[in-house]
Amino acid sequence: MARGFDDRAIAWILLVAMVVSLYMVFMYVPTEREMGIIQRIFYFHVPLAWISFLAFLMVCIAGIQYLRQRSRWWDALGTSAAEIGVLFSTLVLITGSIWAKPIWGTWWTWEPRLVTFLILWFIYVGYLLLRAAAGDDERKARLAAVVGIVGFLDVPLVFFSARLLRGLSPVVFTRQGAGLAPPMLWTLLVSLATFTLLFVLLLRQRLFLELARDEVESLKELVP
Amino acid sequence: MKNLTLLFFAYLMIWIGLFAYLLFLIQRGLALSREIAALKQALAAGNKGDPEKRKDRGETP
Repeated sequence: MARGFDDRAIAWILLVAMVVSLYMVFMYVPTEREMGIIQRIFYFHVPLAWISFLAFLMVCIAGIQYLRQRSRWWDALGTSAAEIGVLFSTLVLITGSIWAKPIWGTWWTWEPRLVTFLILWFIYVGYLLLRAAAGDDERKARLAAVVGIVGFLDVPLVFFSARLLRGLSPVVFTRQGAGLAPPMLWTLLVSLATFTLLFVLLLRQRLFLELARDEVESLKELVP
Repeated sequence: MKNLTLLFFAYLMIWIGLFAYLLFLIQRGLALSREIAALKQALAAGNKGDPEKRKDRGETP
């Protein structure tokens, strides 16, 4: 994999994007009238959730491809994406709780979107535990692929739960549009782009690591 | 203002955490790359010195 130059370029763009995103979140965007300052966590929380969904979508695609081709590359991609997805979804739960405390008066409530998202988190933590368990690698990869595919069915549930089940979670994107003032929308879009770049970089590094480990193992068997 | 500063630091801390994870991955990747290079070198040196393996490759002694 040609990582060197591409990754350095992505890393520099990411650094600039991160500074721009921080500037927009804390200096450029106006404070929301009803929620106040805590609403600014939204520019962090929503992109994190977006990346979680993207990561889990990759786990699902990698699972399907692995079951079709039995290629180690797809298996490694699934594992890498799942790890990043769990990391980001953990941050979604944390930032959501930080937002919920001043707005709802509680850190956690058994609300449809929160429950479905928690289930999603448990599914992919389970996926990682399965990968870490001892046993036949081939069988583990097959099982993990199935968990990754079935687990993704929860993503549309999370997305539509707030719309269909009328929970407490605010719905930003509706059929009528984003429902945000232009500076807020731009800040959100820049934040989304920044986190997507971070995801690309993390995924490339994590995948390289997974494949490099395999190479070390196979070389160790060959060395006299 | 105090709340905004706190939020800013929380935001920054999470970014630093994510960058630390990225750096950890890069460091591990570099370490593994070095290990792969060393193993390949050892393999090449080992094969060169092993008459059986040279014979397997069809090289003249």
